Amino acid sequence: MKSTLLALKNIDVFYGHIHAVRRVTLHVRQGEIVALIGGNGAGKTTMLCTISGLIRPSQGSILYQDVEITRQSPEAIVRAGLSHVPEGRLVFSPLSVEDNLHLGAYTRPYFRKRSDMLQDVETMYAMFPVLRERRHQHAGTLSGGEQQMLAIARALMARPKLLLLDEPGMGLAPLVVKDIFRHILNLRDELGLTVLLVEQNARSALKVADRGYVLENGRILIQGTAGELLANHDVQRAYLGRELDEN
Amino acid sequence: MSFLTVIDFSSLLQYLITGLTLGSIYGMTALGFTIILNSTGVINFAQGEFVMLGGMMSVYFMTALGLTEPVAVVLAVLGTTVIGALVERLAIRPVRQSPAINLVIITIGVSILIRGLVMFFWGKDTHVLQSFSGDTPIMFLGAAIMPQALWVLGVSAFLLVGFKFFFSKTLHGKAMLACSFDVKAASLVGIGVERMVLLSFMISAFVGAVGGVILAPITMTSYDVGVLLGLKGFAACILGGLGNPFGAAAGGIVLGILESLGAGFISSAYKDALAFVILLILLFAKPSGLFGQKDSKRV
Ligand SMILES: Nc1ncnc2c1ncn2[C@@H]1O[C@H](COP(=O)(O)OP(=O)(O)OP(=O)(O)O)[C@@H](O)[C@H]1O
Ligand SMILES: [Mg+2]
Repeated sequence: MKSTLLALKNIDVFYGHIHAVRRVTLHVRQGEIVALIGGNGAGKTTMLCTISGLIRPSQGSILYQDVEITRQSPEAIVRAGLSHVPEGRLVFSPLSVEDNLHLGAYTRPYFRKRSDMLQDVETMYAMFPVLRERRHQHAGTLSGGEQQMLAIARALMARPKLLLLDEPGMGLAPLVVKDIFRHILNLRDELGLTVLLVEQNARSALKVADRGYVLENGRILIQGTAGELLANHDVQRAYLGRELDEN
Repeated sequence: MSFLTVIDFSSLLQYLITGLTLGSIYGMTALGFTIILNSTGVINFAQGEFVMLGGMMSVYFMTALGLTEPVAVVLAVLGTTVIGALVERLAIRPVRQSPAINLVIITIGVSILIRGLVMFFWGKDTHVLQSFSGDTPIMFLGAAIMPQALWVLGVSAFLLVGFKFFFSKTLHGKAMLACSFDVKAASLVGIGVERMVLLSFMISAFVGAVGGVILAPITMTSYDVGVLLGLKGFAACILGGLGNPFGAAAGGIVLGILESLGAGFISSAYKDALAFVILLILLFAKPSGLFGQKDSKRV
């Protein structure tokens, strides 16, 4: 069995009095795509932000490659090899596409290894050719799908081992979503990346994922392989719209 | 028509040069405001005090420690930069999570404190610094240019070009801008946002002090020169469009020139009021400032 890359143990997160994440335990193994699904306000974004150090959990521990990263700064966590593509992409709108990519490599030694960095920018352009066409354009002028690709490429510029993706398909047309999920599969198959994927669109997510967790009201209700979850009646009813299909 | 024939060219040129000189200082103060505003969302009302500290520390280093002016000036700029760092560390960082308005009020408190300390330890007297390159005016098309004015123009132009380069060409400059666009995204690419805020206070204090140092030989300095300079710098910021560093600098120059023309042609008694009246009129006509972007561009 592949080694565990990321492990959360009994994580609790509060916003003031709101208990957003409740005793969550989960793990992600090397080379896996793991889906975290759940409805609005289930706590998915909170989970990812806790892993990447933007939010401090009140309880529990987070291990990355068996090292505790629970109270480390977001900067240290990026340096450790864990990149987070946030909900809503959050590209730096007034900066050019290329500047966004350069900033993605901010944690890497810049002056000594500039040629490496430029090489990686080329790799990103090869992977997402539309970004090359738009390299000098302000990131804010890109379409939603292009911004999502830029956000992913920017995260990849840090050369992560584990990528956290928060609703990459949000607000995008089905064909664009499909394209993005194809890229996610490629990242794993060709770059050997491990992915923790948050999605409301459970069906698309479980199609590319190996395993999944279902989060509801901050708790993990169900977990299993993607196949098990797709076949699970509760999951079907709540997240796959199966009943609607049958009507 | 008749208005233009009454004034002669050389006095117009004279007013323009005076305005440009003063305006450069307003512009540098405005630049300082903008840099902190962009990294923290806070208007730092102690910016004028950084300008004052540049001049007053130079005077102190020369009179009390007997240093030569060049050494004193450099030390004053460095000292003010350190004070900028201390302000961030001691007054801003501990309460970083508070709403911006609270932080703004804290900066007002800091400005009162700095002014009070300077008054207490160094007195209320007005001091002069010697001009860096003597006081023999250079005649140019009938206008007299003081060598110190050239220092002001040269140093501000140099700083402006430097900042343009820093923000548009260097990774750290872009990282600083990135913090102003989106703090969360900046943290997620591994930019130490707290460090950037500290840096922005140091840079602002540095620019302010440089402005204070090169201005002191022209206007003299005392513990309270920062008050009016800060206000003018803030006005320049608004004039140029809040948040745009080069708009702020340009706003300062426009303000300086308007003020000097007003003093020359109307009355010097009202020059300060005049600047603010013009500001008000402009704000009614164009609320986003002369060089401000439409809000929609910053989504
Ligand atoms: N900054 C905040 N302050 C207070 N409460 C918050 C904050 N952010 C999120 N919450 C609350 O925490 C809970 C979980 O929110 P979260 O954003 O993690 O959900 P989500 O699963 O990502 O939802 P969505 O699918 O809509 O993005 C919600 O009840 C939300 O209202
Ligand atoms: Mg969310």
